[in-house]
Amino acid sequence: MAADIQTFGYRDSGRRVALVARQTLAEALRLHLAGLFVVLGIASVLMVLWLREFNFGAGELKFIADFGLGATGLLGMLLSALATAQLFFDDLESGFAACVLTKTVRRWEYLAGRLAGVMALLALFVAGQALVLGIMISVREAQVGAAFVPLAVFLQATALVWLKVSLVAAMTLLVCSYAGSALFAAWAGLMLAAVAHLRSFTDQASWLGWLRIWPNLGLFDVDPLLSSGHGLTWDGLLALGAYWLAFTVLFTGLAAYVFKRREF
Amino acid sequence: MSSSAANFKLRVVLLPLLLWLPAAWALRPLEQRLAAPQVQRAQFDRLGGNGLIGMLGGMRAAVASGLWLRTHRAWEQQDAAGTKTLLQLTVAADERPLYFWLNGARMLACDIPTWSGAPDQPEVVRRKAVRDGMAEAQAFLKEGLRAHPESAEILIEMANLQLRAGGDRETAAALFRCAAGQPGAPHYAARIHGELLRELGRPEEALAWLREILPGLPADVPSACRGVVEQRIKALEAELGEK
Amino acid sequence: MSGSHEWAVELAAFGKSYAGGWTETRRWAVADISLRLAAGQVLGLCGPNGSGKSTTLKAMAGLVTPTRGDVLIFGAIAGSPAARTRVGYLSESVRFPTRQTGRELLRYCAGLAGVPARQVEGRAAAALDWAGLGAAADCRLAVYSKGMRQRLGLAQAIVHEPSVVLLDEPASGLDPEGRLALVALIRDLARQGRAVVFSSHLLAQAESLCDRIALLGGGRLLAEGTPAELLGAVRPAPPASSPLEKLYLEKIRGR
Repeated sequence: MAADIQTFGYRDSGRRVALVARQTLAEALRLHLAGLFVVLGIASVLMVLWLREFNFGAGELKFIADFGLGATGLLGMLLSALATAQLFFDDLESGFAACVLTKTVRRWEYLAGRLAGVMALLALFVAGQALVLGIMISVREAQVGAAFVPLAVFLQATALVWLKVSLVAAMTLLVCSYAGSALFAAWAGLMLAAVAHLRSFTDQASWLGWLRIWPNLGLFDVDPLLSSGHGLTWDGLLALGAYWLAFTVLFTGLAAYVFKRREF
Repeated sequence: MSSSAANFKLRVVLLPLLLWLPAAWALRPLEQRLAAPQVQRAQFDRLGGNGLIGMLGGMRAAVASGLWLRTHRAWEQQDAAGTKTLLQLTVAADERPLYFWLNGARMLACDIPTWSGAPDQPEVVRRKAVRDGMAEAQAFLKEGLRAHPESAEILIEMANLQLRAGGDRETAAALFRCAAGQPGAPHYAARIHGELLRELGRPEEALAWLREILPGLPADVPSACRGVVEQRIKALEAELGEK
Repeated sequence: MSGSHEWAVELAAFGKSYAGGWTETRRWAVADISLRLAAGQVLGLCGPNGSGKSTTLKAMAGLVTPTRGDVLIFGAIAGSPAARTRVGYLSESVRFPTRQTGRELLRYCAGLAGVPARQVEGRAAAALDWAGLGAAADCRLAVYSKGMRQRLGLAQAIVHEPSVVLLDEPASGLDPEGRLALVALIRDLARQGRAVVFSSHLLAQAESLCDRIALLGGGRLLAEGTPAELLGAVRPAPPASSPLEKLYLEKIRGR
């Protein structure tokens, strides 16, 4: 009866993770939440249209990029925490997660798939916002007669925003593995993200030294790229990517450890 | 159905923390290599509640840009107190963009002094307002130098203000000299230092200086004005009777 | 169809306790239950709410860890990889994502259950047809009736052809016709040689369907055996449907 069923082969892990990720993305896109954030994001980016009366030359282009990418980052973090928590607890509370987790899929595969799905959602969100922002900056460049940063630098800045909000999703996932409700998990995820932004102050007050165990989200700040017009060096890119990957794997691994011991 | 962790186990809480601590410690060298700039405590104190949520949301630049917009509005409305306050908040939120410091200094030095007072104000009162504005602008730019110690643009702006205010060419010359020594400084900073030395009646120093900078001026970059410097050198040589 | 071990499901002095926090005292949800079920048999876990039926089923599915005793699926510890390949589970009052179709859901479940990629489509279609949902396979779950959703739940539990099927209150909320359809499907599972364990507080249903019944109360096993053993030597005639139920079924079928 079950003779030809693939068992627990790790070579199938990728396939199972991809299945869960696809399912998560499909569910996420059906959430009104994602649509709401897209509308809010585009509205905030388009809001800068009224800046046309403020013609301060090349500085205005940087302002548009700062504001646009900043709004994308802030809304992205909100979406990241809310979507991760909502999608996780929707399955748990509906009983569907119990049906799924009795199958051969491992709990870490399920979590990794959930995270991958949310990251895909965030990639779509950030890319969409960046596209609108990029078009606006191009149009304004022609109008004010100034040049902004090269496209490659702008794309790098967009990638940094995505890396940051993805890390927030991983932090929220860790909270989800412990938490009892989506509301708590989302709030805790956002608080963790806020704490991670306080890393910039750790050297100013000794009592803040304990914050050093948190990832430093300030490292993903796009201002150095947009101010200088130069992208990160290969060395910098690799180092930042390794930093992001290390913390993402750490949080996902810890979440998997806790979730494996979670009872239904 | 809920799946709350009904069975509380201490190790499920403690073990992840015990794993997290050494992992975060192990990543410190990598983080130091990436070296994010620290925010000064004083800035944070000054910012207070304004834009705090934005700062914690990682929107430093956007918060500062929003404050800059408000500063611009106050400037349009010729609200001197509002402009000054918002300018301080802007640089407290984000001290990194140079254009906040440069444009802010110009507002303080050139615009705000002209707003105060009636049109028939005595000249002495008007001049005092201009001097006070210049002093405020200089103090503002000095603060900017603390955030950008190698900024040629801020030094050049300070020098321009000196020239505009009272024609203190000595201080302006020193500032242009300092600016010329910063990485990425515009070529004209060095050239103007030489020009000011000449105007201050120190042609020997001016000649020595211009001869020193000439080899470093590229011929194919129009803004370097290599030809102008060569002419100046010839003029000074003629003035000093040198061949 | 069965493994190398004689018993498809075996509980040996199984107990499960919960303690919510440091200050809460430990509470035994289930204490000292021993049961055995062979392949091809149907076991009904019956008892009032809070008697430990769901906890026992979840232990068999590997969703909770026994505090005491053993829970084995064909000799493998419940929840272990070897056991999970042989178990299909339907949780109580499950709510599937409503914006998906039945076919999409089963493809997802089949993939996660380790069905080879080239067989997923076939298995999903076969499971849907078996559950009588072939015609509605491409409709969104939002339009499924309660009975259809329960049958879909059964379909996802067997899509990977497990040897043991665990069903938590499968008849909950179903009308009489829905219950009849469900009973037919469960009988079919047993006929295919699978061991089926389901929980119910509908005793009449359990009596007619089960090969073995376990009566639980207060987390303890009060009685266990075949219906004949439990009711005595003479098995009473199956109780007639209530007159109203009989009329209802006649009207529905005569439509």
